[in-house]
Amino acid sequence: MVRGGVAVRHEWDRSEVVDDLDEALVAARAGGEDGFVALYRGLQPRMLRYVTALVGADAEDATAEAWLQIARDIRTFTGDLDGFRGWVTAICRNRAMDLARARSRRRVLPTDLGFLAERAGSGDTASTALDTLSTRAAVELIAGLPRDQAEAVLLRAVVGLDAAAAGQVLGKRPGAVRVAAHRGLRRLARELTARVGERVRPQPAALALRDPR
Amino acid sequence: MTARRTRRLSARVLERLLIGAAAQPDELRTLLDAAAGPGSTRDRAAEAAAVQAFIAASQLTPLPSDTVWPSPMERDSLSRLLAVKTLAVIALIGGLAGGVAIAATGDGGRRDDAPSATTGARPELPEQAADRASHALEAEGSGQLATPSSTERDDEHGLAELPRPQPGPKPGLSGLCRAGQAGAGDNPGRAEENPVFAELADQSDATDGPDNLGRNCADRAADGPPGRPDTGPANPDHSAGPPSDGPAAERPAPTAHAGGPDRAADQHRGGAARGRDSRSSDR
Repeated sequence: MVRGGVAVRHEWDRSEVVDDLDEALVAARAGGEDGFVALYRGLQPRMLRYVTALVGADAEDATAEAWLQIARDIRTFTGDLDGFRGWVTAICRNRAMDLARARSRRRVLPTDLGFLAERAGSGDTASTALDTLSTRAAVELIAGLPRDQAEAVLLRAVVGLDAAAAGQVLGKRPGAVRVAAHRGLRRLARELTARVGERVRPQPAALALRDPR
Repeated sequence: MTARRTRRLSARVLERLLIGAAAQPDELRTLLDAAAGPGSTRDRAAEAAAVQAFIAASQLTPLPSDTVWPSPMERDSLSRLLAVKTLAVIALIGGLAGGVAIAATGDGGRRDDAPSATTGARPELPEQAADRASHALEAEGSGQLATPSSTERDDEHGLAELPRPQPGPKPGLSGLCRAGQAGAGDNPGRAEENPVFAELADQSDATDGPDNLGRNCADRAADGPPGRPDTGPANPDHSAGPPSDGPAAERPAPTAHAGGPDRAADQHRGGAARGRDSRSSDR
């Protein structure tokens, strides 16, 4: 039986994305509009989820500003797609931090994540509640982790950075990122195990704006 | 049961989960797959604005391939010009450093003109003393002192309109005395044997005898005019006033008017003019 979650994962197969976006990056750096659009469509959804865990509903504004900067500076970028992904992530994170400082002390409510796509899993008659876990609910669960763990998990599992690239974005050593991600996954595993047999209810995204500094 | 399942999540399994290579445990795999699911059009709300910014940036900024690089010949010319400029700057810095060093040496010698110099606290090489004496004599022939220190100092402090000191009866001999005393040090006989001081020795012969050169010079110092040009603090290290910052072109060069261009040039080259004049010419 092909489970919905795995099927979704296959749509994001890394090799396919890298192949397409590699060409898109070359085209965009040469001034090709199509290449830039492909990069935007390939990276923006993951960036939006990651930034959502940081600033909640302000993620759309933060990523929009980040892409304006990326559009201006993409020709100055030198490197491959992995480096470009890290570069874009760092810009998005910086813009998110700027917004968090500008709108400081405004806590994010659970409804703030409503703008995320409510994309349910394909197993609508799933045997367990997890089979119907939506993207929004999954991001909310991860965002409920302590901030360092949530960022590490999102950067590695959602954005697709390796430990070294995530460490560069976060200003940490790769080992620290790895440890934080592992701790976050173990914590998520405990929570998910406790919820087996009942519908997963999104937890308040207490991570957002917990301590942007 | 939960604790057992959590303990089974080794670092290797977790790492494989993070890169999407592990299918177990199911709950975590499902969660990560859902979080990394494909986006929707709603996620791309700012796509139009980003594309517009990209197009605008393309129109404003030339493409990297459009950048005009200088041809190899132009690059050679540019590098050559840069090298020439660098050498010029190095030469200028070196010249300034050398001028400062020479100026400090010249002023140090002049410091011996102070009354304490009679104690021989600052010895001077006989060659330097002879050099200074030669140029003092040259200036004497032109009717003016070779080192117009007072005038220069006045100009530096904006006091050029003050009356200049009247030239003494034998100003060149005064300079010769100073040079002789400075060069003599502990051995006055050496200075007297120097042919440069022959004229001063002749003066001494006419009055007190050849062995009284120092006394003769002391008498001259006592009888000299109050506006003696070289008695002020000339060394910037010991000067009470600020050092001169003005360009050399703004300073008058009295010797050039008095003795003609050739003579002035000689004095600038000479040791008597090393102190202030050489510093000015270096600037």
